[in-house]
Amino acid sequence: MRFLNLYMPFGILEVKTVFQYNAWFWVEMLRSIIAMLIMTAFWKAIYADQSSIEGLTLTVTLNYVILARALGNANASSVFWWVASHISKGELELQLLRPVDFQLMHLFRDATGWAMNLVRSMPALLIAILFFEAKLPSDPLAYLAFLITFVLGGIVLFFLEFMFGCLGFYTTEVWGLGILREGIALFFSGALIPLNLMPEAIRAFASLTPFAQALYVPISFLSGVQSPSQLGNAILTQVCSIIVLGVLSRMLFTRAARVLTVQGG
Amino acid sequence: MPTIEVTNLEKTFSIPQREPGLGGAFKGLFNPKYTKKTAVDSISFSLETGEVVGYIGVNGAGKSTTIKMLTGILEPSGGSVRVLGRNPHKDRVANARDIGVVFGQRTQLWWDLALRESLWLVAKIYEIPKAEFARRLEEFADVLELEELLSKPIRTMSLGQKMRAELAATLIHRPKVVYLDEPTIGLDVLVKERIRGFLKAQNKQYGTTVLLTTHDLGDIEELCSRVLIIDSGQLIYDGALETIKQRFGTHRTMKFELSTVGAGLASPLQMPNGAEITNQEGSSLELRFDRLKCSASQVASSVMNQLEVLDFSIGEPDLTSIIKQIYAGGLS
Amino acid sequence: MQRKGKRGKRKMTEGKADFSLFSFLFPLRRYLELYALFFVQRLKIFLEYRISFLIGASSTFVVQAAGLFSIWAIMRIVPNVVGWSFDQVLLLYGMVTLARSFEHMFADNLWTLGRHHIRDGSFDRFLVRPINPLFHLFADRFNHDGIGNFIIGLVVVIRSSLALQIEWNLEKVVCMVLAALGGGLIFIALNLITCVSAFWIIDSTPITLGVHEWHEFARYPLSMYSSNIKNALTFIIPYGLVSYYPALFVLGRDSSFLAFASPFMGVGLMLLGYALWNVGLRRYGSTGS
Repeated sequence: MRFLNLYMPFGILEVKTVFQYNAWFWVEMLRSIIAMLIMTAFWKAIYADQSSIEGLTLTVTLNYVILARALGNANASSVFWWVASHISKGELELQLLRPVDFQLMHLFRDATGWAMNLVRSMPALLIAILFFEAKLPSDPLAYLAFLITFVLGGIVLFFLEFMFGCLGFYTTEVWGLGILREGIALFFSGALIPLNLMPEAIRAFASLTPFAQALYVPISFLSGVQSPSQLGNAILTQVCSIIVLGVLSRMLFTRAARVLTVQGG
Repeated sequence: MPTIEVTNLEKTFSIPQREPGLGGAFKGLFNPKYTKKTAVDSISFSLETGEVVGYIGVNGAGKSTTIKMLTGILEPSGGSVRVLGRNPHKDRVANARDIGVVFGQRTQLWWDLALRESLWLVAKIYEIPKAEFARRLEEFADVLELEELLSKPIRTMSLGQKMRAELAATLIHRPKVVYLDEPTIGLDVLVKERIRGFLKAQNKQYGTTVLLTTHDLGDIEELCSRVLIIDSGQLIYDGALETIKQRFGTHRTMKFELSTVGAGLASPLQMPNGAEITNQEGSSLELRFDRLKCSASQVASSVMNQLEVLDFSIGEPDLTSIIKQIYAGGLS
Repeated sequence: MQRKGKRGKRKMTEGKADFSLFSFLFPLRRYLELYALFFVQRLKIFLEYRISFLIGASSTFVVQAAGLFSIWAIMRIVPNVVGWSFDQVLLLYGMVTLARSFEHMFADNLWTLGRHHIRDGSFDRFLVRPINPLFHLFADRFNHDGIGNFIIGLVVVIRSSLALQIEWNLEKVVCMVLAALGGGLIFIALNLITCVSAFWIIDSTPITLGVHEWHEFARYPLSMYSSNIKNALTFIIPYGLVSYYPALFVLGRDSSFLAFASPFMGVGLMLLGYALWNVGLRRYGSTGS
């Protein structure tokens, strides 16, 4: 009951925003449907002559790619674009003057965004379940594994995005950099295919990248590609990534902020 | 034939009405309701070749809408516009060759291009031959001090530099008519001076007809011999700058220099009806009076009767206060 | 009386017909010249901002590579999708990318029509210049990011056709060139048709995106989809004409006329788009937003 009381307003708010931007809402639906139609057709064709590839059945693979499409970007970070847009408007220095920890402020901002994104993904998820045979797990542990790795993965990604954002202090080419980074992310995150189907060497490398930590790991728990028994390992890797990236991004930020104040923008 | 001829010009917009809430948004989708807003209401005026005319009024009075109809961007809802004998909306392309427009803060130049390249593109659009382009560029470089700006991209320019660049781009094809929407907004005094000088010179040399909207009365006083005032879509004044002062400047100021500091004012000063003290400091006294209610001599003699006066002067009516009065609705 | 007057007027213009028959070539030549000039100026910017140029072009490159890599990773294990090999799927992918690159390079400004030009009023500047506003909009910003798409499309098409050992003849070459150019027109025209809605709703991006997104279907053999989707992609949102049918022809699997249909469809859709654009312009003239 308390949960509902606490979160209902968010839900109502979300429904309202969805209706406010109704054109965007519908186009996102349409894009999801198109992507799911293509995925379903493609994977059915791939699995036409075999029941299992690298240990994954059609059901699991389809489940994975469709859930990745529906939920995969929910824990994305907006800090990079935020920094980019403030640099182009010349307002970044002003933001740095705020009496709060710049990095922490953004982490909290992003985290609220994740919750909203999850709610926002619900229609796409519903479509996936109703029309595209996506199946949510029956094991409650799988949901727990998803949620934990979703949040931890989000933090890992945040620190990386934050470091990308710091590059914006040095170069004004942030827009191109942003798209470049998206391409790299698409490559390694497992957004298009489960990492299991990649060649071994690439897979080993990809699974360690922050992109995969944020997308592949939680989605693989939810879709059944990984069983919840792998949770311990996953958390360990994510926590290590957070420590390493957290320290690195902190160092980079301190230096970058100095550049900004010395150059005066 | 006048260069610009505007007859009973009208522009009404239909504005969709949005009801609040989800239901309202939904209703608006299927059964939109509109309210009519008349932005320009039956305006008539004409500009002769070579005139420089100021077009003033508060924000939202209809200035920009009028200019958009004169440039051919908007189609009038009623009445007619002729610019150089053409209908600017129907004959948009032909009209565009002969006009130049500055839209206040919005640049028409290419953000990343160096000014010289930008101007060359503009020149090509208007089909100016290369040699002619070079000659005009030299002329502009002098008056607008463009030399240092020519190799600079627009996005790196300061506000004043941008406006100079903008003016060069607007006048490079030597248009017969120029519309300027707030050409000096936000600029410092020196840049304003330079821009006014440039416009004056262009007008004098080529007989360019200029219509400019501005909130800066300095622009008007220096450039315009004639002023149009628009208020809620209606033209409320069309005439010489001088007449405006006479007609609307009903209040004058009078300054007195007294022989004694603060003396003789133990009792309140007796004043004729319509006059009041605006400032009193040390030995100086300032009065403001309505010349329709009392004359200058009445005021002066009344003060002189009560106080020892060393010197006095009558102030010219000040355009700023007249315009303020007009904006505040003091004319209706 | 009135009718007679009209006829008289027509007769007058008919008298000049032989002159006006060619006069359209003068503006055409002028526009080509202007486009070249705009293009050269943009090029100068790239040279000045070389890093930006490289990042922009390579960014599209990397995004495409990610998609291609995924297909490769899976078809390395399962070398056949509805009877198409990896290299054949690659050919489709490359053809779509190539055609799309024309839209990306030459007509990218359409995307910003509503969100940028109409919303903040900067569209006005196109209307006070003595050239066609649509031409101005197109010419105003050649987008170098599209070069990345062009190169990757070209490389992928060449690579896959080498791997497939296609026996080239004149017909096939013509088919490929027409597919790329006509396909480019289809991409541009569909964007034009949808972007014109900006004159009514200001932000047309969702609508444009909603239609544009359909091109992703055409990266795979249409035989993979249900007949409804296949028909839609052939006749309604005809991205299928860009890749699938020409590829069938070049691969010698089918010789349907649809392989050569993209230029016709492209021109037809462009005309429709231009007509709608003019309606939109008229609306802009009466509302100013």
